[in-house]
Amino acid sequence: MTKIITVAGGKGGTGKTTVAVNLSYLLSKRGKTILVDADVENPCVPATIAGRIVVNRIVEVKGFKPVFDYGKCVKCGLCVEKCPEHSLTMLPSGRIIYFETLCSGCSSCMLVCPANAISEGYRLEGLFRFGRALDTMDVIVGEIVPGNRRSGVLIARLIEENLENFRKYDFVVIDSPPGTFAGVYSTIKHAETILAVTEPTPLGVNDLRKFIKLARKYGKEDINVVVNKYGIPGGSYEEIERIVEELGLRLFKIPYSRIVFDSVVRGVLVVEEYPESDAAKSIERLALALS
Amino acid sequence: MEIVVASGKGGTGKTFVSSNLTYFLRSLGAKVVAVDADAEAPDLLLALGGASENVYSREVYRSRKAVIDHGRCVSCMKCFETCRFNAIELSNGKPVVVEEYCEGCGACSIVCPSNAISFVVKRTGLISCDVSKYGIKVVTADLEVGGRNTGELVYMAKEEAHRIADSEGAKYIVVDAAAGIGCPVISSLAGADILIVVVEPSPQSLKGARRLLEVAESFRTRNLLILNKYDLNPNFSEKVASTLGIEVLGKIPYDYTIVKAYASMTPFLAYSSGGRALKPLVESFRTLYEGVLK
Repeated sequence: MTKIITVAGGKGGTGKTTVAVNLSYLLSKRGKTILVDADVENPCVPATIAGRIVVNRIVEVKGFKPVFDYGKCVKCGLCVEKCPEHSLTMLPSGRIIYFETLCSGCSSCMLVCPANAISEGYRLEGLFRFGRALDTMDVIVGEIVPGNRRSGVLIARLIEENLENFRKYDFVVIDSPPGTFAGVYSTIKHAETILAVTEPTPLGVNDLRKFIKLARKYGKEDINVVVNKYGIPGGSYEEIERIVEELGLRLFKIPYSRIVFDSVVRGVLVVEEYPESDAAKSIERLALALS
Repeated sequence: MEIVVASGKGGTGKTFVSSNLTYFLRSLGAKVVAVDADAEAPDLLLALGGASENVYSREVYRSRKAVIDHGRCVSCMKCFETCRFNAIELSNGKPVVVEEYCEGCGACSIVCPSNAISFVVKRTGLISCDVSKYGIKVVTADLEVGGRNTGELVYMAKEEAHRIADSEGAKYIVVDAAAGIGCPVISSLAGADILIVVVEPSPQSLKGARRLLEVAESFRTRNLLILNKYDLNPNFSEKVASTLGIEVLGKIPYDYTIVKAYASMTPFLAYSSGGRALKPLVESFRTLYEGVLK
């Protein structure tokens, strides 16, 4: 039975990747595990384990782009009219100007062309790197081509196109991007368990609320709030306790410690390098509760 | 003049820099409008002390989604085969629309032989204008959870800020961008004059900043760097500065007082017991003001 655990939380920089990497490492000792870096705009899993990934397959993710055959084109302008993103313009000469950065790759232009003058071309949207991390688990790292505006589409493909593959594992840990947009929806859509990683600041709390709203909108029940950097002076601890109590969520705490920051920077795992630290023990407890 | 604060990676201190820069400009007597372009997790108003007055809030309905009329649908699956966005799934042999994935592009309705697919408009989010406790107008883009078209919402919020700036004679617009390098960040960069990149001394943040600068290249912004929490890893901070090769505006040390200032809903610069980050932050802003903005 596969368990999909998504590590998300709304605010950026709260420690999602740190939690995802350490947690998946611990889970990999209990069952077959795959870690999915779905933060395609800025995938941080590789740096957080200092590149200790053996990549065995790179999939170039391709999207549609139109190719025009002016020998067949009847200059009807239907492609221009039907393009929902206004990425096509026709010059008086009949030549079509294509703005690739606006194009969503929907292929409507090709579908409406009455003269079969548009055929399927490809453009690179991003890469999915498949490999083995830390010699203990499989990994997929998604990365979008800078300048591409549709990270949500790439994340949806990363999850949906690998869903069958996920069923081969005991644990699937998805490292979600910050925010609450459709791309984050993709990462929680199939998940049984959600970890909402936050920090004890008013901003962290504010973003946590919006993220929980998203998770609950899609019927997620097993939502666990993970407060990272717990213990920093002046933190919003009461507010977090109140949210957790009101909504009946589970609460986990990872104490603030320089060890965690230093480990992230050096690309080592707290649970591997400093297993006796309070931070490592708190992540151990989290892993135990989820497995 | 439009100043965008972005980072690539989340949590490096974008909102910290943009809220305090706004407050700094205001305290110099300059008129400034702030834009929260982090529509998925908007916090700028909070960082500027919260709202003392809501000027207006406007619902934005600019997204589209497909709706399938199952009375007409002949289950030919042409829509399923045509959709490039995983937005049509099969449920008991019938195509159903996954609203969150639907781009509203219309490709499915082009191929549908029975005219069973139509489109409805759905909520994109909310654009609000508030006056913060410190008398600063803040325009906030707030995306519907699970929504899309973030870039369009950000673009609208910026247009709104320009309109306010024009009518009130405000010289500066400060934009607090989202994490990442995607659609909302691209909309934040479009039309901006200055980009402040906020980086913390970690490889993750450096990588994010490099990807951000790659995206920013086509916008011809003047790029400046703020090294936040630089003392957590001083050697790496030097590496960040030399690798990125952009003008360094300042180095801000890690300071617990920043959290305390947030907790009391006060911009750090206005927090009476300001900590060790105070002087370097003010100096960075002064350098910016004297050397670039003025």
